[in-house]
Amino acid sequence: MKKEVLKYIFSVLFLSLVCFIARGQEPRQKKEQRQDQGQNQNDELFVQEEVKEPLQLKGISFGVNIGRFSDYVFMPDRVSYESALNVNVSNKFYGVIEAGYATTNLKKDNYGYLSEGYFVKAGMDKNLLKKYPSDFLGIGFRIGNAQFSHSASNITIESEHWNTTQSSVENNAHSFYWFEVSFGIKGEIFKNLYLGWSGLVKINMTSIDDTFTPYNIPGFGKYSGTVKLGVNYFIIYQIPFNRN
Amino acid sequence: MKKIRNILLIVGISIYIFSCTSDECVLDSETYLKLEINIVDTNLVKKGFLDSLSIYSPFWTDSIHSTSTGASGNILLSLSPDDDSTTIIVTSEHEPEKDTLILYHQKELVFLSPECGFIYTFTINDTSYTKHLIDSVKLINNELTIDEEGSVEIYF
Repeated sequence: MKKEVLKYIFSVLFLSLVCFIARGQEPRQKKEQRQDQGQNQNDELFVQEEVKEPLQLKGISFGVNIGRFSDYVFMPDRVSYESALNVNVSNKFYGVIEAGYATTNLKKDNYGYLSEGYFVKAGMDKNLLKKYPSDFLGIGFRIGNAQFSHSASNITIESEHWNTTQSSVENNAHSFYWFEVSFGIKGEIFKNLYLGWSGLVKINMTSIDDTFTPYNIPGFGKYSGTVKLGVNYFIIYQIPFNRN
Repeated sequence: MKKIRNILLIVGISIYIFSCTSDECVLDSETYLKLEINIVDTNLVKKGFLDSLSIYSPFWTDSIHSTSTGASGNILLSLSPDDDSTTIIVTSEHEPEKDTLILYHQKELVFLSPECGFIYTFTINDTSYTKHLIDSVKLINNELTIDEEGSVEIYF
């Protein structure tokens, strides 16, 4: 219970920080707005033909999922890392590849659980913002695959009338696929450095034997037969090239 | 823009909160078989056969006593996780003879949840019994899982 309260506090504080940072962007945005308005006044005098810009590479960025670091405090039995590579095309579309590694070493009174594996996600984001293209508010999708194995030891089952039994489950290897829809925001906190979060809806595409369901699938989390919700918090550095 | 951002922050917090789960096990961590005792023989009913009925296994250190009276009642028991069969002896203070019921089953180790750990589920394949007092035995539900109890009807 204490763990959950700490988790909520962490979540609220973190999101407040994101909110604060996003507010910091407003004066610059307003300035840009005023510039746009000035331009619009000129547009009234001269009817300009709308020119569609061709798609062009606007930058490459690397991100680290900092939400994973909260596991050290709230879920010390899990260790996971996740990083992302984004390719920015015209500030509208972002090609995304995310990869990570996760281990779980769970020691309970009545069993021990060990899992290890990695995951890769590939997909695309679409920026819905038009006026402030250095920031991001948009939607995206990913296809994810996790390769992992898990086992259980020292399984103790107590019964009211029968003897206590001891057992174990040998290493099970799995390849697990899922589809992910994301919805998130990202703001530039310092030049070329972004902070953002995204809400995720993960749709399971692989069925796993019901008798030994995984505790933590790398990149997906606790096994769910259908849909699972999640949140990612990323800090991102953009390699500065081709920026206006 | 501000409005949208506030909505997004609320959605973000909600998703994070809903993704949290409790560490406590709230499920029953043992599977059960329900023995439905039906006394058809009126002499046994008159003798109060069910009132003093009890069951035990040669591997148990105690027994389960019936809490029912009259012509029908239920007893819940768990099956043996050590073997492929469970032997149950049915006895009553008012009858010198005992009956033995053997349930043949398969077991499966199931990871119930990270909070609860593992349990055994069972499938009963067959039964055999002595006929001193038992008239017949019917296997009603042969699956013992967390969601459902197995069920066997015994007629005396």
